[in-house]
Amino acid sequence: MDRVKLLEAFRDFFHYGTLDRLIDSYAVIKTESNTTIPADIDWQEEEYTFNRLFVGPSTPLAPAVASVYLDPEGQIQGKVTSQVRDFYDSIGLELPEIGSEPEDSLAYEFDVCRYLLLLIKEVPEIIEAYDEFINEHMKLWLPQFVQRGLENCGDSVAIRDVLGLINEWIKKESEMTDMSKELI
Amino acid sequence: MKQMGRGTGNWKRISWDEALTEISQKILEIKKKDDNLLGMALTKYSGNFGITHYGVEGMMSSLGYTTRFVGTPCWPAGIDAQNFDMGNMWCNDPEDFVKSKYIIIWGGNPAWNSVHTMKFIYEAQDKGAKVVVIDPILTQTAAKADVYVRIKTSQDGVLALGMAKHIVDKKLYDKEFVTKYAKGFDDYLNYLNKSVTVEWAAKESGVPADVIRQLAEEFAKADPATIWAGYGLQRHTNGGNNVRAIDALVAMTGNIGKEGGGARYGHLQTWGFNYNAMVQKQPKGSKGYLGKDIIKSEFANDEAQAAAYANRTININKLAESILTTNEPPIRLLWVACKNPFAQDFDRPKLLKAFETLEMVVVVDQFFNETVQNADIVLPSTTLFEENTVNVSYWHYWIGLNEKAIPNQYEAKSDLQIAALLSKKINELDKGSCTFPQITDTQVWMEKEFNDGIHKFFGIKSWKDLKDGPRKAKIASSASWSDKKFGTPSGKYEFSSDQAEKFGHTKLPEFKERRKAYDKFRVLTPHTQFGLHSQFVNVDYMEDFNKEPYVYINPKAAKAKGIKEGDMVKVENKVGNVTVKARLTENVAVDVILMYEAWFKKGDFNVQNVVDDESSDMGTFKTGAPGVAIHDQFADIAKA
Repeated sequence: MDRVKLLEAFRDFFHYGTLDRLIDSYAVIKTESNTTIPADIDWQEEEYTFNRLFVGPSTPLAPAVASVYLDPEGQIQGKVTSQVRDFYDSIGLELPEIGSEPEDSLAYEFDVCRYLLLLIKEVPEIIEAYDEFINEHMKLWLPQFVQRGLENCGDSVAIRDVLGLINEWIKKESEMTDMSKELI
Repeated sequence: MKQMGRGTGNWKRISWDEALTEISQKILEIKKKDDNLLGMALTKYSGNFGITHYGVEGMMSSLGYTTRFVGTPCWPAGIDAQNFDMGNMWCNDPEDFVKSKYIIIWGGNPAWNSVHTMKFIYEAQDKGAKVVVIDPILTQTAAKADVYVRIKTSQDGVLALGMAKHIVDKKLYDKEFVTKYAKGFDDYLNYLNKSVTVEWAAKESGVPADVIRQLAEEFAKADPATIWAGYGLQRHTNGGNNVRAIDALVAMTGNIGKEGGGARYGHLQTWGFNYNAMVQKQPKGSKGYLGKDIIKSEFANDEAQAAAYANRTININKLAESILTTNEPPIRLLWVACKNPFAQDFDRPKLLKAFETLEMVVVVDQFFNETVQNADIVLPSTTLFEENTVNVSYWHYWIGLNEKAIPNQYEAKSDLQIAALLSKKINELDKGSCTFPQITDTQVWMEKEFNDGIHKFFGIKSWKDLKDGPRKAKIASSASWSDKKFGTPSGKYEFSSDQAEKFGHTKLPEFKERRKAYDKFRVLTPHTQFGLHSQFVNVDYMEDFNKEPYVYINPKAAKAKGIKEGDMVKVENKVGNVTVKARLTENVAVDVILMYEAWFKKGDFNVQNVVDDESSDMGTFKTGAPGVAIHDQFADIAKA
């Protein structure tokens, strides 16, 4: 399993939200998770379900934004978004426009994880930052997000599958960062 | 986003480029098929408002001659009434309520819907003014008043006539005003003497004769005295007439042109902008409606058509009916902006059928409402927090900048940005198809709305002065018509109006029968405390206070129907039905049921299921189409 490639695929799955990107990124997710793609996926329905869950135009049933789960009132662009923005700043990253899309959107968070993993190869100490982001942030909201997605995804095969894999990923990453830190 | 089958809830995410390409292709297809663009129609109102939002109309003009839904659902009958009487709709500065000695709030509920005005009314009250509320509903404003008078719905004109008759009997009218500054008072006086008695007015209005006499005498003797005519009382088949009768009452007592007096309805004195975004030229060679037509708007200047062709105009209050019946060519593409027709337009069941006939529906909105549910393409629109524009009022006399406070959220764009992008795209596909300028900075658009007249009126050198805060207009007097020079053909206040007759009404504000009941209970659907028409009721924190809709029914009527507090009931009439929880209250009369208009994001509550599109009597003169008799609706009620 290539952890970086898996993160790229998770990122793309949530970032673009178009049918072709969903299919392509799902294929990579499955490859990098060493699992096989089920045969009977109705991708058209998957796309509609994806939009109902994460995009809109109706109120998303399982918004892919950390604030929704971590802020006491679910306020986006509030304290949680600000904390995540500060974290990005501390590792030299920022979105092109502050205040338009929240930094704690899932796709951006996956991309930041990917960036940190790449950086760890060059600067092992960066594992501290990765550990902080995984254990003190992503681990706190992803299980709730996955749960809400699973409760609302109906007959979906691919989205259900991806949500399950995200749950596994966060558990593994949490365990791995603990172990990696001990090694440093 | 694009919906794969209107109303299915199956949405695909498409880029702005893809959306605008698809829309542009449809526009070009319509032009090719019909040899004109009349098959493209716009329905737009004030749901997302700033002067620059007239760029939506500009976008339509920049594409060609199109079909426009014109008029206003809000206040047209009253606008016409005041124009017949005084030559304009022009109210006193609301801040001068403090100078009043006697205030009648008639058919309005400012304690909920104009909270900022209440402090001036309270101040007048503290200084000793008497506040009277006349309304079919015991409103929050009525609860704050010194006197509440319950009137039979839409019999306001009758009460005003009865009061006028008593003032005549007691010779309490202002002789100087009616002889020097008015036309036709003798005719009016003759009419009152011949056709009106206080007892008749009492029977028709439900207000006891002694109360009518007391109100009339107090009003005539107070100096100054004023009436605030709410929009509710003109939403009737005799609504314009109601306002004219009330105007006459204020005029005959000499209270027009007086500080602290006035027949207050609204004004458009502060609206002298350039309407730069609105005024766009059609592409060369555009064809349209044959014959002259003028798009009227109560706020903006008329879009006069100098060319041989014109836009096709249709009554905004007959959206459903017009979509179903308009031909040669039919309406093929409907563009909806700044408006939520499924919550606000009338006869919702018919609107659903009408939408089925449309080839494409584009909705520009901020929320996922029922209109978006019935769209093919939804374009996400910015809020006022995300754009620069300028706003004035049709009530107070202030001007204020609306400055962009936050970046556009996600992919949302303003109406002007959408227009510019559509122009770019359609010109890529077919050069010369659109004249809308390529300006996407909303501040640039806003700056272009200012002129020397606006600067002078508000005492500013440039729009930048408004960055320090709003400015109030430099008005000579807080009273409208203070020089008694009226805008009517005679230059006087016209108790008798030839113009009114020209538009099919009586010259005098005579009694006009109200709409005949077509079901057992009268249905009232006024404004809620918790929103602005269909807006803001859906906001999370507002839902904390206003969790669900109710129908309000008088306990006596409820008992007769076997309905108890909290029962689910069905309100049903010839238009459709609404199932909702009942609340029992004596705030409404025994023959009235009441539901506040609102759009709840959860559930399918919609009062437009029981409101038809019957026209009010006036509106065509100044707004291009009559209003709607929103409060002349009837239904039966039963346990669900």
